[in-house]
Amino acid sequence: MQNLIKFSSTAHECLTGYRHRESVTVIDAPPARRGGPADICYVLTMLQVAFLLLAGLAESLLMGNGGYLLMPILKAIVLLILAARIVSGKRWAAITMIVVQSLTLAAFGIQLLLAFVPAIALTVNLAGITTNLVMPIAMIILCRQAMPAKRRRIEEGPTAGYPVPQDPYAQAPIVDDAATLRTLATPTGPIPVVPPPGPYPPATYGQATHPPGTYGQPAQSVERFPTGAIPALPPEARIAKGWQS
Amino acid sequence: VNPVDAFEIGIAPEHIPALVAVIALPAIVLLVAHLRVPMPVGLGERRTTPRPPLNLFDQWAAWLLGICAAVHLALPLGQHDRPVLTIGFLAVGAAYAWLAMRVVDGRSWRLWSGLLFTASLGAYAVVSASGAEQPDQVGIVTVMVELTGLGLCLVPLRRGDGRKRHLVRFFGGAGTVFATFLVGVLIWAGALAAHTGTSTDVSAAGASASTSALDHDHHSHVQDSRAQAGFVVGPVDGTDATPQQEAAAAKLVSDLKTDLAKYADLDVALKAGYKLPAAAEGMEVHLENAAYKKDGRVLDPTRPETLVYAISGGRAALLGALFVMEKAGTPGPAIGGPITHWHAHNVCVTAIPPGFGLVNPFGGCTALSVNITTPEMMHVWVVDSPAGPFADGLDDTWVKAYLAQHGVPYTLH
Repeated sequence: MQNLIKFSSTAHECLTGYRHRESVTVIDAPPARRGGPADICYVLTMLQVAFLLLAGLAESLLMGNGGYLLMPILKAIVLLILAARIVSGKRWAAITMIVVQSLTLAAFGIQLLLAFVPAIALTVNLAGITTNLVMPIAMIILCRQAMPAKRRRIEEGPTAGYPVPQDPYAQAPIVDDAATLRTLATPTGPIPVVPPPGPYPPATYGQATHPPGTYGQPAQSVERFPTGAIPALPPEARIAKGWQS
Repeated sequence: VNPVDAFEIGIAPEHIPALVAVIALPAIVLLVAHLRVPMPVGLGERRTTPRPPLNLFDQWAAWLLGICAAVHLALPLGQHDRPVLTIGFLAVGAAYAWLAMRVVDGRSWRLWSGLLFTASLGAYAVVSASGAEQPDQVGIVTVMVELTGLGLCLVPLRRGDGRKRHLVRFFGGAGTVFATFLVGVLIWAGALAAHTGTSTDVSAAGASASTSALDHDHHSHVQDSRAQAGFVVGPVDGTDATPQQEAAAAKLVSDLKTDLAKYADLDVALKAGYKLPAAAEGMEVHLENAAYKKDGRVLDPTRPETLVYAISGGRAALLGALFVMEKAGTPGPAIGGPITHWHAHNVCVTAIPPGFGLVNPFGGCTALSVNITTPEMMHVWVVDSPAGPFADGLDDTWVKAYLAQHGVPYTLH
C-alpha cells in the first residue's frame, strides 16, 4: 500500500509539473457496513411479508375468493424488492420503504380515529402494537440509518461558505480600462502599517490567555503551567500542584 | 369489550411475570453496565483480546436473545405447578442468556441460536395447535421476537469482500417467511379450533345446567380469546351460573322460540325487513334488519337484529337469532352469567377489493385495510342442536340434516 502511495505521488508530481508537490492524500474507503441496519431491515421485511400473506390467505378463505390474495401478493413483492435494493445500498429503495411504513403507521392512526365511531371499536393488544406500531417505526429508523448519503452533483459547485479555490498559476486579468487604472493608482487613504510579528511568548502549557500587561513576557503562572521540561515529581506532588488529576 | 378490557384479556395471568421481566430487562442491563459487573465470557477459555465493538446486527441479536431469556426464565414464576415444564423453561432461558453473552463477547452465536429459536418456535407451535396451551399476547409477541432472531440467524450478512451471495440471502429470507407463515398458521388454527370447541361445550353445559362442566369450560373459553385473532370474548367473572341466571337463560331461549315461530317461513322474514346477504345460500346465512339494529333495544326476543337460516336448494330452515349491541365496546347483558357469553369480531376491512378478513395472530391485516372490532353479539339457537342454544356456531353436517328434514320452501316474493 505504501509503495502504491509513493508511486502515485511521484506520478502526481510529474503530471502536474511539480506545481503540486504535496503528496497524494489517500482517504481510506469506509468499511463495508457488515451487519448494518440494512440487514436488520431485510429480516423485518421478511416478517412483514409473512404477516401479509397470512392475512391475505385468511381473507380469501373467508370471502371465498382467491382474488383477495392479489393485493397482499403485490405488496409482498414490492416489499421484497425494496428490501433487496436497500441491502444493495439504493437510496430510492430506503425512501420508498419509509413511505410504505409511514402508510402503515397512518393506517394505525386511522384505526384509532375509527374507534370513536359508535359502531366500531379497536382491540388493542401487544401483538397488534408490535406489528402496527413498533415494527414500522423500527423500519423507518433502520431505513434512515441505512440510507446512503446523497450524491452531490458536480454542477452544484462547492459547498457554500467555503472559499472558491483559485489557481495560483493562472494569468492575472488584463486591466485595460482607464477607470480601473485610475482607481488602482490613487490611494484612498493612508496605507496601514502592519507591525512585524512577535516577539511571541514562550510556549506555555494550557495557558489560554495572557494576564494583562504580560503579552510578550513569560507567563506568570509558571508554577501551575511550567515551561520547558516538566520536573520529575512523584504523582502525589504532581496532584498537589494541580498538574495532574 | 372496551379496549382496556381487551388488552387485559389478551394477557394470561400466568404470563404476567414474563412480561414484567421483559419490561425490566433494559433497567437490569443498564444497572449491570453502571455497576460495571464483570460479564462472564462464554464457555471455554477466557479471551485474551479485548471484546470487539458490536455492530448493530449483533446488538439486535443480543437484545432479542436477552428478551427471550428473560421471558423463559420468568415463566416458571407463573407456571410453577408443572415441574417438567419449569425445568424446560429454565433450561431454554439459560441457553438464551448464554447465547446473548456470547454475542456480547464477540463470539459466534448464529448456529446455536438458530437451532434454539427453531426448537422453541416448533414447540410453541405444536403446543398451540394441539390445544395444550392457548396462545396469549405474551406468547405471541415472544414468538415474534424469536422469529426475528431466527431471521437474523438465517439471512447472511453482507461482507466487505464484494461477494453478493444473492442465492444464500434468498434462501435465508424465504426460510424466514416460511417459518413465520407456518407458525402463524398453527397458532391461528389452534386458537380457532379451541374457540369453536370450548364455546360449544359452554353452551351445551348451559343447556344442561351442569355447573361442573361450566366451571371447567369457562376457563378454557376465556383462554381461547387471548389470541384475539378474529374473535374477542369479554371477561367472565369466573363464578358458576346461579339458578337465577340459568332460569333467565332458559327463559330467553323459550321466549325466542315462541317469538320467532312466525319466521320459520323465510318470506315472512323478508317482509319484516330482514335482508338477504349477497351470498344467499349456505348453512348459516345471516339476514340483518337495519331498523332493529338502531332501535335502542337490547336482547329483545321480539326484535332480534339478525336471523340465521340454513338455505339451500330452494328450502330454508330457521336456526336462530343473533343479538347485536348497538354500540361497540359496550358489553352485552350477561343475563345468564357464564352461559350467555357475548363475543366480538376482530376483523380487517379491506378497501381494494372491498371485503372482510380476520386479523391474523400477529395482529396484522392485509394490504390497504384497517383493523376494527365489531360490537358485541351473541347467537341464540332455536333449534335443539347438540351444541346447545348459546354456541357460537353449529356443525355443518348436523345443519344439513336438519335442513333436509325441516326445510321450508320459499319464493323470495
